[in-house]
Amino acid sequence: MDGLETATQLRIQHAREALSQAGVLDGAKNTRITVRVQDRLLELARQRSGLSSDSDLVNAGLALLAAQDNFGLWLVGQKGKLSDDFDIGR
Amino acid sequence: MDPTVVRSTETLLLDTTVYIDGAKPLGLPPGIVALLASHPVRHSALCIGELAFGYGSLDPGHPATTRNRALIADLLGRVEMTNVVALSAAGWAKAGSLAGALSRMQGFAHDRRRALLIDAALFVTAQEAGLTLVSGNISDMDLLLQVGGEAKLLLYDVGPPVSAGSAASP
Repeated sequence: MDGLETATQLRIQHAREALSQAGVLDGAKNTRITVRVQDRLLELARQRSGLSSDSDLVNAGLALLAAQDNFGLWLVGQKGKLSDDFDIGR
Repeated sequence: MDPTVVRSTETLLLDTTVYIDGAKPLGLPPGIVALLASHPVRHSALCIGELAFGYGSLDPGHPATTRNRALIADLLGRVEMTNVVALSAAGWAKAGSLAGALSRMQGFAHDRRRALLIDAALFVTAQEAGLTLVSGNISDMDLLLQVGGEAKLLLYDVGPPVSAGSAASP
């Protein structure tokens, strides 16, 4: 497993945890969807995620979309809120 | 490593410099801003500690303390604990070994040695978790990259992004 796989699995894990805490994953899986995808896309997604079942893969992809991390976007919007002389004192 | 070539699938690990530079008046270089806006972020427990230390050490009598405390408190409150990455015991051992050897070879004073240990721990955290480390600490990270093994690093100066690296130790 290389760093890319590790990072992907971490993202999926964190997305699921965030959605779970928000209650989004409560209740029954009562919606069925059918999609057509390229073999290579499916193969690469399996490799990156470590997931083998199609259902798990689709759920992981949806979780990543639904729980997007916006910390970085928030941080770049904070420009100017710290004084120029702020120092953590390391 | 140029920020524009960081893959969309990469997850970033931020050095303490990124949080601070991002919120200072000058801000971060445009390439780093674009990267942060488009990639998922993880946080090191070390950096959280450093930011909290900075919060606690602010002089109550300084005119900017109220605004600085407000920003740091807001920032720490937004860090989801599920997005925090901690270093393993083996990672700490590697970081200590790296920092100790580099400090000796560079002839660093005691204060600088302790700072290098934190930088080495962050460097190894990124390696362990397979994350791309973003840092404005060019000098120490460059040293670590020379002897610490392969790592995904994106270094910046407060001007345009300056350097780079994904490299193996000799």
